[in-house]
Amino acid sequence: MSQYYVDQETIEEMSRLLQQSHFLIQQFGGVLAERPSFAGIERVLDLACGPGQWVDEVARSHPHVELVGMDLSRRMINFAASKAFQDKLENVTFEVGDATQLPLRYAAGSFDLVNISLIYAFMTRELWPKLIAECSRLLAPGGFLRIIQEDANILTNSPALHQFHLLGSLALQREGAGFYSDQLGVIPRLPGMFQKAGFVVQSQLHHLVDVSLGTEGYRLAYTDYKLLLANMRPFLVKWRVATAEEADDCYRRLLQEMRFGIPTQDGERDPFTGLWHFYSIFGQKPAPLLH
Amino acid sequence: MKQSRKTWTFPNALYPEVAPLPVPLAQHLYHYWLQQHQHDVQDEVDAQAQFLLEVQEKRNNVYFVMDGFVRNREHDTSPHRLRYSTQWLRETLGKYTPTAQPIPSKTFNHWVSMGLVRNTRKGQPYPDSGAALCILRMSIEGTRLLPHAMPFDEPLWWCYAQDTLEAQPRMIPITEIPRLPASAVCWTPWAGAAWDEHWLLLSNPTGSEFYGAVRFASATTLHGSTYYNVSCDDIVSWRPALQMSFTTDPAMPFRDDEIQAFARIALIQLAQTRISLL
Repeated sequence: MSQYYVDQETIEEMSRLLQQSHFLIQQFGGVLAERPSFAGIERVLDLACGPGQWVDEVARSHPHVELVGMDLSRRMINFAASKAFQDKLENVTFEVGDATQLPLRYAAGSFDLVNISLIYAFMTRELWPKLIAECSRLLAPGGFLRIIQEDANILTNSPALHQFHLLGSLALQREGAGFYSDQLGVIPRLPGMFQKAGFVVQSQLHHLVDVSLGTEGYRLAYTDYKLLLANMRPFLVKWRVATAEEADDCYRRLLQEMRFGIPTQDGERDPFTGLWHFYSIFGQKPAPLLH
Repeated sequence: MKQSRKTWTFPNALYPEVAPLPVPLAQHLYHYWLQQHQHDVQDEVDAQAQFLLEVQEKRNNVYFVMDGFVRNREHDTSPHRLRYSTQWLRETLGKYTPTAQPIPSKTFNHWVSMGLVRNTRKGQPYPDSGAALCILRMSIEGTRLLPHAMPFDEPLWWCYAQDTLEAQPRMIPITEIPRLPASAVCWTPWAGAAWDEHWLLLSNPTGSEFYGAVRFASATTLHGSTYYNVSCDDIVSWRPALQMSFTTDPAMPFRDDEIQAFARIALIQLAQTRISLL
């Protein structure tokens, strides 16, 4: 059974994931900027779908597509299903399932697209290549795999936020999720994993999202960090990267710096700046040549 | 002399800002919050502003998560697990206990008997009441989650109301809305108000952010649609700029659905200057 580093069934975490997903779809220019028409895509699996926002939006914009959303959390799945029911989406199924228990229950060639977004919280170094190979099995020839990832690496003028990222990366590395202690190091390995699993990489997109004070992304980032760091405290303590007091101190400073700015040497405060780096890789499973 | 922080009480003027918290729960939460943040606030005004921000954040999260379940509660065809119910509320609140198990029935029933949770009927708590409980549970660590009791006639929450464009806005408990003039306008920063179809939900165009709800005081539901009991003159009295829209051939009076469309436009425009986040 996989572990998620915070309790994903609290109201705060469900709401955070929902808003984050909505924001990411906007930032990436739609639900599937790499193939917006969904040409040739009729069956879709969203692995670790969380509150189901991506599934919901694809189902509404592409009613011909049949979608399956899978997530470990029963409450998250209930939430996603309740929204789909409310929206009268009949081309959607949500199922409880563990993305780390391979092979997955679906038959080979069941899908034309597998979508995976931000699963670094529970995906271990060893499992990444196995999961990508499993996606190849699940896809029909010619099918697509899209993975969105961030490596817990932010450009910021906030010392507290920088420290928080370092603590999180170190804890994730100790848990077996990251390759390095100061960032996850998954992104640079994904193209190689795709190729080893037989995928032809069609595109790699990098997005720098401005979450500085005054930008559209600021409110999301502020709420995101506020909830995430508060919930991550036990995780940081468990992996002995910080004491509870140190985590609390980092949390307090982070909120102060994001809200009121970063103290400067001349006694003033610089407004908070931050750039999130998101990455997506889109690959195709080759179809056999027709003679 | 500087006022002691222990004497700070939750000001009456902020009752509508903490909807859907009933006043006793808001006072209880404010008292707890001040204890936790006594070193983080500069003065009473700062304390109130920070407290409201906290409530606003939690209220948004609660709305995001509850909305689908609440809207499914009237659908007989929806599976039980997809509906808002006592069981849903017990499970949700239970996630904040050390065992993460649902709140025991006995405890929950005690809360009901003390007036802290209001039921529309047996086994069906008011969504607003459940939302208030969720906000408290998210905010308060430990066991002193709720006050001992709440009067059974305590209004669920408060909102703003204005009888005419020239009148001063005032605060009223939502139980007072039926006694307002039909064309009075009511508003609240609580988006969950729109779970009652007489309230109009205020959101951004993509539906990713919600700012509150607004309504005319008198409304009727017919075949699942809401009709505000207002005339063209009422609408123009609130939004004189809409006068142009109503200037037409007297032989071709506006249909009800057209008047209702204008009523909604007027409400949204009025909300823009009345709800701070819009």
